[in-house]
Order: sequence, then C-alpha cells, then structure tokens
Amino acid sequence: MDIYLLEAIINGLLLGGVLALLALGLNLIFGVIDVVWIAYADIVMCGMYVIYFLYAQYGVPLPLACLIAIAAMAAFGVMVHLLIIAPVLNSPPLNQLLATGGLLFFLQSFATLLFGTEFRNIGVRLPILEIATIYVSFARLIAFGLGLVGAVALYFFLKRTYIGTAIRAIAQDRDIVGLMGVDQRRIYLVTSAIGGALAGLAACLLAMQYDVHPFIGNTFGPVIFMICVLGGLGNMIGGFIASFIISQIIAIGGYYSNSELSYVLAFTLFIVLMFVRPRGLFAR
Amino acid sequence: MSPVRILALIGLAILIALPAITPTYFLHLLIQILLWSFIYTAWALMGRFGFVSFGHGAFMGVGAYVPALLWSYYGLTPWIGIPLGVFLSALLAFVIGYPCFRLRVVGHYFALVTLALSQVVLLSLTAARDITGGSLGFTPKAAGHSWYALQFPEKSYFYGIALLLWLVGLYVWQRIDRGINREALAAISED
Repeated sequence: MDIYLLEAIINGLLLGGVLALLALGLNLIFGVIDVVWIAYADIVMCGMYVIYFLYAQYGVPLPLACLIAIAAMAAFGVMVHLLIIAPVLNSPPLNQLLATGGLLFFLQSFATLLFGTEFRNIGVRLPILEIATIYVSFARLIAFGLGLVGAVALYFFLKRTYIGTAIRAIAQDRDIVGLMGVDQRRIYLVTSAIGGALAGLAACLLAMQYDVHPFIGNTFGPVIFMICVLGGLGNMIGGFIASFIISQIIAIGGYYSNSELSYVLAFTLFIVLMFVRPRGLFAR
Repeated sequence: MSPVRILALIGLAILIALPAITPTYFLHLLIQILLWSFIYTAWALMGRFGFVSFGHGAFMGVGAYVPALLWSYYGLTPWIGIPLGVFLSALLAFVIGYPCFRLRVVGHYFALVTLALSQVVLLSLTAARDITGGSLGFTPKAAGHSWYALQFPEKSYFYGIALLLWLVGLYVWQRIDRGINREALAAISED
C-alpha cells in the first residue's frame, strides 16, 4: 500500500476522534432536549478564543486554560439553554431552528466585531512523530486520545450515575419521566452544560491544530450535523461510527484530489445516503 | 379603491422616486434590501410547505455564477445567461427536491439535506478557483454602460431592476398564496 495513503488514513482516523466528540455533544442535546443547536460549532469557536486569550495573551498555562475554557463553555451552554432554548421549547421546530440559527449569526458577528477576522494561532508547536516512516502530528494524536477519553467518560456517566440514567430515560419518553419524579428542567440544564463542556473540550483539541477565526465554525459545523444525521439523530454509538466513516472519506478524498473536493464528496454521499436511508445509517 | 391599496401605491411611488434623492451608498443598501426581500419571498414560499430550506444559497450561487462565467469567458450575453442560470438552479432544485418528496425526507432531515447541498455548491465553487476565483470571488468582465452585458456604472439602473424583480416575486407569491393553492399548500404542510 502507498505510504502516503496510509498516512492519510491515519490522519483521518485521528480527525475522526475530535469529530466524534462534537457529534456526541450535539447528539446528546438533540436526543434529550429535542432541539438542534445549529450554532454548536460556533460555541466551539468561542471556546477556542477563550484558550487563545488565556494562553497566548495572558500566559495562563495551557492545561489550566483548557480547564477554564471547558468550564466557561459549560456555563455558556447553560446560558444558551436558559436564554434561547427554554423560551422556544414548546414552539414548532422551525422556530427553534431559527432561534439557534440566530445565535450562530450573533456569535460570528460578535466575534468579528471583538476580535476582527484575522487568523490567530495559540502558537503551540508540538512535535511531529515519525512512526515507521509515517508522519503523525502529535497534536492530532493527543486530540484523538482525549476525544476517546471524553467519549468513554460520557458513556460511563450516562450508564452509571443517577443523572445519567435520568438523561437516558428522558430521551426515551419525556412525559413518563416527569411522572417518575425527575425534574426535567434540571436534566435539561445538566445536558446543556455537558454539551457545552464537550464543545469546550473539542475547542481545546482543535486550538492545538487550527488557527482561530470567527468563521471557523462554518468549516466543520455542517460536517458534524451530517455525522449526527448519518448515525441517526440521538443515536450516540451510530454518531460515533459515522464520524470515523466521514473523516475517512474526507482524508482519503483529500489524498486523491484536494480538501474542498473531498468535502464535496462527503456531502454528496450524505445527500445520496439520506435518500437511501432517510433516518440514518444506524436507525433503530 | 381600498385604503390599503392607496397606501401600497404611495409606497411604490416613494420607492420609484428614491434613486433621485438618495446618495450612492444608500442606493446600494436599498438594492441589497430589495434583493434579499426577493430571496426571502422565494424562501417563504417553501415555508408554506412546512419545509426549512438551507439550500437557497446554493440556488442563488448557481444563478449568479452561470451568467457571470458565461459572459466573462464566452462573451455570452446575460440575456441568455440568466434564463440558463435560472433553468440550471431549477434543475438542481428538482434533482434534490423530487427524491426528498418521493422518499419523504422531511423536517430536520430535509433541512440538513439542503444544508449539505449548499455546502456542495459552495465548496465546488471554491475548489474550482482557477475558473471562479475561489473564495476571493469573481468579478465579471467590465463592459461599461451596456444593456447587452447588463452592466451599468450608475446604481439607479440596478435599483430599477431589483425593484421590478421584487415586485414580480411578490406578484407570484400573491398569486400562489391568495389563490386556491393556499389551502393545498397548507394541507401539504400538515401531512
């Protein structure tokens, strides 16, 4: 096998780890609150700015900056829920979509206003590993590892804790859960906080690989939605597998042509798959 | 004449008279407002079906790039290029819309299919940067003042065209919305 193709496949695998983390967060929110956060990728963008300013401008150590960013984004997720989602919780899906769509434009414009459109890099230079003549970026390896750790931690949280069980229950039947004595509003807040924290963690991992700019959400936002839908909205394991399928298409497509066309390929495949399996690849 | 109709006529008269008194930049803003109103009218038509479309940017992109590219590379007048662009974007809408309709891809799923479509068009245009100028955008070959190339140094011409387009859009919208089709559309959106 071509060594560069192998390299592309491995990089695709590593990219899949971060995408999986984001897909998990979005899927959790969709499954529990039944609202699609169109602005999810832009919350990641906000997290990346938090890390950039803490680490590159104010000299806060990187791990501490990451923890602050995760906490800040968790708080931000709660705020998004209280200010934007809660008022439209019982509105038609179109209104919910437009409300979070409005948040997307607000965040992008606000970031442009505050920080300008220049690309900012946090300036972490991690070494590039050479494993048996294959070059692997260390930053991507860390991102992949932490992404997996985050996913596994979320899995055990949902399976083993009381709140996790309540979250899973509410995703199955929101009316009965209320009768069983679970406070829905509290569960919604916890879910939004976890969704925000996952966005914050993804922001830490992405800030090590990519420049921050106000529109970075546009580059991977649509991809995350595609992954969630392919995996079946609300189906976490499906979304996890789908993120690796999509990242492989992007990586291998990018090897044979260029990166834009590989995304075109992925999106076209998504449209075709939607026609073949309208409820996602792993619909139950 | 009903008061509403009189008010509408006064409003129209003001809109027609505006280019004579507004500075160029405000005229530019007015043109943008009219164009977006036109696009919104088209989008609202979809809303009647209960569909959220994120794909209108894609159709707009096709409609904009086809005449511009044909004019700049082949000297084909936009008078032919624009109908061709409209035809191609309608064809694209059909290719995506018909399977969605047949296979009942609705709700969130329809919104995301159209989102993917807009990404496909956007990224294809970006990838073909040798022809389209990529993300830097594409400026059609200048032709001075020309009805043949539909290019005018004065903004007021574009204002007139945008105003006319918007009115046509509103007329079509009214015909569909106020006609018997309205109940049919509402029924489709129900199920």
